Amino acid sequence: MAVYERSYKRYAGDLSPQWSRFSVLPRYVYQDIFRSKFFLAFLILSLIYPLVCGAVIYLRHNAEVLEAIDVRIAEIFAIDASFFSQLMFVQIWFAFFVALFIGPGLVSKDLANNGLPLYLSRPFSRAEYVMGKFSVLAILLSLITWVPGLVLYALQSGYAGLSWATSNARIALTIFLGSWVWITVVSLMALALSAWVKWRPVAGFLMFMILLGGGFFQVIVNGLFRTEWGDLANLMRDVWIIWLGLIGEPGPGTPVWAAWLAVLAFVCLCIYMLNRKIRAYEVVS
Amino acid sequence: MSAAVTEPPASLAEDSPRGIDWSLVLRQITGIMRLELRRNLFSRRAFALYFLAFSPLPFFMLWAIMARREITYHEFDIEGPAQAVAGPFTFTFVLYVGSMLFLSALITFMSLYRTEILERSLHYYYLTPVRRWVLVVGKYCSALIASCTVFAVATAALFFLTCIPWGFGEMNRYLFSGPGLGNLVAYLGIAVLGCVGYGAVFLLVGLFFRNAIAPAALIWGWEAINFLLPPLLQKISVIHYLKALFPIPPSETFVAVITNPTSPWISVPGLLIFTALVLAFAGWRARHMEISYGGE
Repeated sequence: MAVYERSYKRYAGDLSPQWSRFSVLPRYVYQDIFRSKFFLAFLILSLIYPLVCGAVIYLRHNAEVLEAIDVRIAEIFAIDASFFSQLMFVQIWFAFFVALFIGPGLVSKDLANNGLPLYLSRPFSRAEYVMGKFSVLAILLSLITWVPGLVLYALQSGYAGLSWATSNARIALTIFLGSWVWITVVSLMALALSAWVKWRPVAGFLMFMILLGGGFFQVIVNGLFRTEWGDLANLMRDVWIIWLGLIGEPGPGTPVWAAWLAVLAFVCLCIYMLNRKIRAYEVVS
Repeated sequence: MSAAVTEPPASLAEDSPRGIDWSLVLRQITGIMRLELRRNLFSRRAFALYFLAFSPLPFFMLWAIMARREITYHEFDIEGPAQAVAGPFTFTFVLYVGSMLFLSALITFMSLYRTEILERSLHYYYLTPVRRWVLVVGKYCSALIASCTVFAVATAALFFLTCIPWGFGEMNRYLFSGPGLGNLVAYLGIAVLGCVGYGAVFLLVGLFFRNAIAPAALIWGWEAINFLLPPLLQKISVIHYLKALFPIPPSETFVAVITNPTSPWISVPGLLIFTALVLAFAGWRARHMEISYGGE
């Protein structure tokens, strides 16, 4: 066939299933980010604390080892809700920093280089695009938060028996749900800022500012007005209150429903921001 | 686009055999400062500086209104401006310096070079017959003047809002017949020295790192856990020297490692010497810097 006779033809090959199309994005992003040795080192560092916790659980259930090193670890560390809360408190900080390193560059690069039309001209919706970018962070943050948390829960259950597992099922549920609340908040914040601020460092700076500024406003509102409602300005504090509510530990004065509302409002704001910016074309006035 | 501008040949860069023409250097610094001040105070970039500096103001206004009402009904447990400055003001000011001033220095000083690189405009400066260290000093001084002015005004406003609920008479008595004026000057000094110290650190970071978030987070973490560090390590931070200058020492948390506060006679010159060293290093770094816009 002569070249001039060739014209547009629809792609006739197999299409990948609709439900898994979003997973194309993480695949390529991971190829990119795992080239960074610094990031890899940080990811390994973030798993050290769960490893230490695993060692504590192991030692607590191995009396011979304890006798050998003459330590009454059972008296020092109780494996209960507080133990897992402590673990998750450390891990959500690591999760925040991972999101801070990766998140700001996820959408901004596509927007700054007019790459969105290339995605959206394919059978790939805006929701799938956001889902794909969200999953980049969600998978990584899961590896840092609820995955090690549940592995440790399983380890403890393995040693302490099924009765411990069933009587403490609430801990497992809280690890899973609480982690997902934080993952959702942090990932959507990173994506929304990345979409609105095309410069990666500025988007990262804003993420940092929201966390640090939130903490500042929390303390001054609580301090000046002698209330605890200032907690709502601090996202990390909100998630912590939700966590304590889920696990059944006494929290600060702010009601758990208020913390849920604050988090929900923030998530809605992020989705609105993403909806405004993730478009195939932009009309520049 | 990629542009590589390196230091001009020695024959052009070197001054006359008499040495550096300081009057020329001064004129060049003034010129750079004039250009940069406009950017630092009146551009879109300046919004962050104003927002961070003045963000606690609405809370203090509301507090002042509520305090005034409670004083009228004799229900307020703070007895006068002195107690208010020692309590809510000092407590807020520690955090203000540690978070808002820190963040504004981060964005103002780090963007001195980073923004120019991202906007691909640094080579315009580098193509002029200006020594690079002169450019560093000019840029630093302009950002310093901008941030010091804004934070000094904000600090003074917060201070007056803390004193105002008891009326002008009481405030004047506290300021001019009591320790008020001295305290105000000390707090203004802390704000200015905070800008000097953090500014120098972030200017240097901006020259070294393309993505400055990781070092910024590291520095913030270091400053935040300063009170937990051993005494020797506490001295390697800006906040340690700033805390030593507080006229009313801020209360430490119950897990703080107690150290002897550094004397203001050491803190102030120490911070200034540290800043001079950092600026010298930044000047050296700028001299060996090669611009590569392609990597951005």
